[in-house]
Amino acid sequence: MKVSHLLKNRTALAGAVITVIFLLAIIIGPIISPWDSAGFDFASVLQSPTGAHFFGTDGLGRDVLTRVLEGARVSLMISTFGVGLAMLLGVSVGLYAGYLGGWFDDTVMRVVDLLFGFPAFVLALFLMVVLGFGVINVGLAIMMVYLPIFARITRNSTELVRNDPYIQAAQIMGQSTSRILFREILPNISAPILVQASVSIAFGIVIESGLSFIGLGVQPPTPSLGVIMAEGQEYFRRAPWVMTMTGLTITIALLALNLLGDGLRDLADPRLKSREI
Amino acid sequence: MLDVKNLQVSFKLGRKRLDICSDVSFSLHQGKVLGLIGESGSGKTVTCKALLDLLPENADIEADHLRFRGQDLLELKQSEFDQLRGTEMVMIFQDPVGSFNPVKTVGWHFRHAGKRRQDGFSSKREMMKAAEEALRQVEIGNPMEALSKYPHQLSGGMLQRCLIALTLFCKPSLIIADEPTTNLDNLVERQIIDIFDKLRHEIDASFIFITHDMVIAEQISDEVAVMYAGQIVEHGNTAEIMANPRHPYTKALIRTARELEGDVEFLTEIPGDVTSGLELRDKCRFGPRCPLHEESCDSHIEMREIEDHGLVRCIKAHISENQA
Amino acid sequence: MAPVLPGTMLFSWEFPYMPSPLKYFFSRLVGAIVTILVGSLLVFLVMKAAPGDPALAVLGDFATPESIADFNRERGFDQPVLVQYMHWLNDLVHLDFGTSLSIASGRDIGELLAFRLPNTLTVGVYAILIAIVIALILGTSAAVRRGRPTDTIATAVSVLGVSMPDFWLGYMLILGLSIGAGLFPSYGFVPLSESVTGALHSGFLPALAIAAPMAAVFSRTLRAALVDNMDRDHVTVAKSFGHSRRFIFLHHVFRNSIIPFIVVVGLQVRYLLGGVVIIELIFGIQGVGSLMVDAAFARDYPVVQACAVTFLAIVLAVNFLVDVICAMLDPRRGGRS
Repeated sequence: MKVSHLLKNRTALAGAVITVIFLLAIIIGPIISPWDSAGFDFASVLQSPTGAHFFGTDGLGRDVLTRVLEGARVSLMISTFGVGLAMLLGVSVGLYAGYLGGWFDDTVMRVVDLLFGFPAFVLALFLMVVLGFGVINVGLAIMMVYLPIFARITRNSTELVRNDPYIQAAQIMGQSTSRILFREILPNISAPILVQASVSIAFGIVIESGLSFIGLGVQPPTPSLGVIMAEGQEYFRRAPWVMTMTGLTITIALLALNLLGDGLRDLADPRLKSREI
Repeated sequence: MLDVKNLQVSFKLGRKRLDICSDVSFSLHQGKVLGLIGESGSGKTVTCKALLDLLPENADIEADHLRFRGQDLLELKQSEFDQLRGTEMVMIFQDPVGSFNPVKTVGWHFRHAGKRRQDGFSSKREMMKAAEEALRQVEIGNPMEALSKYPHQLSGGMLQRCLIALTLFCKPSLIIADEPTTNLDNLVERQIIDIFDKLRHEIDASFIFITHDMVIAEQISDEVAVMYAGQIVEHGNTAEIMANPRHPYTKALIRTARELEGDVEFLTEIPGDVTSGLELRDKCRFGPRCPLHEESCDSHIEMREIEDHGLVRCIKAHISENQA
Repeated sequence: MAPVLPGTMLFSWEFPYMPSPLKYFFSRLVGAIVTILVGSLLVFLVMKAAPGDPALAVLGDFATPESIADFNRERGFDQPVLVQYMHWLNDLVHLDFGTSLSIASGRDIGELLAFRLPNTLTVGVYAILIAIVIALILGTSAAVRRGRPTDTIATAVSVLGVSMPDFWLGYMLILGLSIGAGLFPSYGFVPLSESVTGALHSGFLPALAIAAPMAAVFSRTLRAALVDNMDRDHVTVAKSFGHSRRFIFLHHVFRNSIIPFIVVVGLQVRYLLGGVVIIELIFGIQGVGSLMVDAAFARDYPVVQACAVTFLAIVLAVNFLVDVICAMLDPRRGGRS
């Protein structure tokens, strides 16, 4: 997969573009915004979207757009943190499991299978009860949800390429197992892992928002998309724009990451690779 | 019974147009077997699929006429054409395993083919009896059992037999078999060919048998047509063509086939490949690979009739085997 | 690689002396049961490791050491963990989930679940049905008209559907169809046992909110399966035998696409049940999800445990069902030689 391929696939391109715009918005937005996200302004409470406040104001007079962008930053960081950890651990475990096989593989797969039996959100919820609230714990909960997924796809991919000639060559040359796994195998199976990462980060945001919305995730005053939505729920009937806009933001973020993931998946499809010939 | 004149098939790919077949003409009489010989890419499968309208949507079919039992296929409405398939004209494909629906039994395929039979059946029992009869014709010992099996429970050879039986069951006038033995191993291949050999004498349908194997063609067909790069290059009586091939390509093919049979150290190669020929619209398509090729060849690329032999698309056809 | 349903790999055992299909189902069933047992152990152990003393939570910060000791002794919390697990397991087998600590103190959890489970299941099943119907329409039209505008639109709608968080969608629906158009109630759920039409009416918005992202996934899967099957050889052969396009689509394309479709339905149940939790809260549905959240806040650990295991059981039950259906529909599975 090269950059030139990325550019040719419309889906991936769209996804990448939207993602980049989104990232820029949440990084730069709060900085250039004329409003302070924590600044209460009781004079302009609960205003519907206007030219000054694109997303309106909330119950404490804060500019919703600025707050949402900051919240998006937090949500994205938590999700990336959780998925990143999941990838780190899950891929490592999966590589060893797929390569070594035997009882290790068996055990790992059974544990993975067990974890899969729990609905994702329920698992996260359960972990929050055990771990307690807070930003880091949400990240850990997200990690637990996605760890089995990364372990499984990595293990399956590894198993498929385990007996390829270049691996055997490396074995004969006496390379250590970890070297073979991380230098030889991993780069070749990275495609589905990256696709999964893209999709997982997207849904990680949903999980985080859900947890925070209920009150079991990120705690106010730290803004996250879920926290903002929870606040918006209080005055939903009078001022629906807070919830609407926040959710819309989540949707856009998800859309971007999903398109990107889809596009990457198309590109990684081995059938497409032969098109070049 | 089947008369094809000047068939041209091309595919539209985006803005490009790929010519697959051109100037394909032949006739097939009742009860006869035509062997269509050629390598991959010669256009033999596409020709037959064109006859049955099985080509994808971006295919363009043109011809002076495609007469089947008096009717010009090009002039038929879609519904009338659909009526012909599976009743008058059937086709057997290369891969028997993929040809059956994996979640349905063999018997299911027969039942639904049977519903389309023109002469109809008075009862289900009668239909199944006819199915068993067809299966016995292809030398399947236990027809009832075969009918109740799923495709994955049968071997490739068995499935091919079932497929042949299915075509017989439809009682068609034309059976086209597209390399039906290529995917099977040699022993099974022999059996299937023998079945075909037997059938062509037993029933009065006509056959078009596509193959790349000269030996099979020799055994099975009454006439052969050799295709190269989308055109027929030689066409005539099997025995005559096999004994005295006139087109350089045919000669090379037969020479290679004989060598494979015999004990030779080196096989004669035909240098180059088919793709160089596909782009030569108005010249001799075999030219680049032909040892006898001259500039004057390219202006005379129609089929010529040679006495007591058949049709050949080569100006040098009069040169006999030994001088090539 | 074919997706593997949860609960099938954890435990498998070849039963001797049994006909193949029966062996298949039986081993799957046993596998599911073992998974539940191991899962419940895991839940139990992890719960025990949770910070926060249930005694303090229930009795308050000013509880005396004696009352705490009494509390713990009454419930066997002072015994070794493994012994506690044995007791719990024993109770579980007798379908006694213990009693709630705080949110409904003293009440038998089993009773609570018996009341709540049907509501969750009703909404869940409702959601799946809606999702399947939408997917059939979208997926089929996209496949049949592939490459044309309908296909692109359907795919775009699908991607959009997957991108919307279900609880947000729930609120949007309330905004539009409940507050706005007044067609559906925005809160409260009429249980199925009380009134069928009441359940259908009050359950429509929550079910739709959960169904939307699932429908998106289902329709894309269906489209992919249909398109894949359309290119198969047996379809060409069927065409050459002159069968009508309708016949071919129904019996050769669609029929062969059902299995991957059902497998995806099974896999999606995981996410369905996740969405159910928040949706229940939003719409005021008295289900297992809302019970779990209430218990989480109240630190009523036995209830949280029981809910987690219940969800696990639902997922496994659904997957077992999916396995059975697939085995019936596909002659190559199910242990038939």
